[in-house]
Amino acid sequence: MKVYFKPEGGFGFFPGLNKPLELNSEHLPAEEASHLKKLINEASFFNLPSHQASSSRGADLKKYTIRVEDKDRQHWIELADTENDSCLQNLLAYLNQKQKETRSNPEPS
Amino acid sequence: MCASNQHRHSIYCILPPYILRAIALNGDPGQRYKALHILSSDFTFRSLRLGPRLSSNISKKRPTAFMVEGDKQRTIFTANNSQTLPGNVVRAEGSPESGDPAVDEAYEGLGATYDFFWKVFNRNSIDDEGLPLSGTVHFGKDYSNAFWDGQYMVFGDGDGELFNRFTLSLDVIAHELAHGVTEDETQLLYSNQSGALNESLSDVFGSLVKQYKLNQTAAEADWLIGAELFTNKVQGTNGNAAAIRSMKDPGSAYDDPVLGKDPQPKHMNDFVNTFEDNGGVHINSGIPNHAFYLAAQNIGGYAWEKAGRIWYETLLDTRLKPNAKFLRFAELTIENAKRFNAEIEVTDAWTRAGLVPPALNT
Repeated sequence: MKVYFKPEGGFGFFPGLNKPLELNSEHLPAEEASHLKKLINEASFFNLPSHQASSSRGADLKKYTIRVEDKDRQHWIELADTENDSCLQNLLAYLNQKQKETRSNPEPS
Repeated sequence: MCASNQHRHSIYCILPPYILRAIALNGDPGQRYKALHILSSDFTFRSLRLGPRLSSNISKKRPTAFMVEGDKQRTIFTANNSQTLPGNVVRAEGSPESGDPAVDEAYEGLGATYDFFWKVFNRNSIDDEGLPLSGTVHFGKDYSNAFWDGQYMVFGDGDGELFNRFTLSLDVIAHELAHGVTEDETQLLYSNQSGALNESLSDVFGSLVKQYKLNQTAAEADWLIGAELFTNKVQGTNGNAAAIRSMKDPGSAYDDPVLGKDPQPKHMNDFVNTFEDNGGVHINSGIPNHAFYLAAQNIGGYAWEKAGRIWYETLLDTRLKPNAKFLRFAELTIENAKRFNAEIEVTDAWTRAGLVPPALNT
């Protein structure tokens, strides 16, 4: 399973905090790979609408694009910080934490 | 208290809003729920009036001679580190300090912003009709952001590593409230140049609220946005502490190994064409931000008296459309500057930012 995660928006644009994150479950520890798949399944990810209707109101909200490829299917969604679904919040929290870890330990160029 | 579910507005209730707020704060859970529901309905009722206004060639006339000082109606909620809005009431208008710094900073900051708009521009809250001001603190977990969601001003606690809590900066609190003002007046589309103007207006009024509070002239102000938000782990430039943005010198607010370098341009030649950030609304806002800074320096004195007034009048100007670009906004500020004998100063500011309106481009 491959997961692409891209945060955007917020009060300011910080180049280092908006880099995309790419995860491949084959390269994760087995326990973590299983946890990631569980988060995707619990969110019913592949059944979610891709794009939530964006409001004409509001500003400085952070938004996130998540794309998942799993075997022969792929799907993407866009969500914001005001997302109420607890399963999506859990997935988002995990991906934000992974991106934070990547910032702290950048891959060698 | 209204028991009828058909009454959706507190105007139909016996209990006035200030009593409802006290119940929302001090009552038992059932009482608090009902009071909050009624207060929210009142707020929603008013908020529904915020939205696209029909364009009109008739300038809005505000009979300031008949206006009386509106009452601030602040309510601060806590999301308790969840992402549910608005959360639980923790401080209502007129109630004493809560002891929670984020709550009290949001309360005081919204009050200072309200006072600024009223005293300087005779504007009664976000909608100029006394809209209650609602802020939510402790949103999310380690949430390093603040936003305006169309109804509430929302503030995170920061992650404690790179970011402090977002209520620490008065200009950030004012920035978010100002988004509501812009939404009420012009609905500048939140993408590309119109979105950057939207962002810039919030930085302008955010900075002015801080300068007004500190009684600083344009020359004395630091012109930084969010100077208190970064921890000391984040690196600034030239030996200065880091900030989110600099209106005086866009591009210099931070240069950090983790955050990267402040990407803001200060001149139209360096406009950033990007799909990121809704077309760079927080990036290219550096250009109109810098133009305002230059105009304020050119004019001198307190920035809110003339420069701020010109920018505010331009926001109210019905010729400012939702899809306005920088050049059109510049034209209108120059036009509105004539009434303040500041046309030359404002024109010079925009020229130095790389924007020369066609009428002057001869």
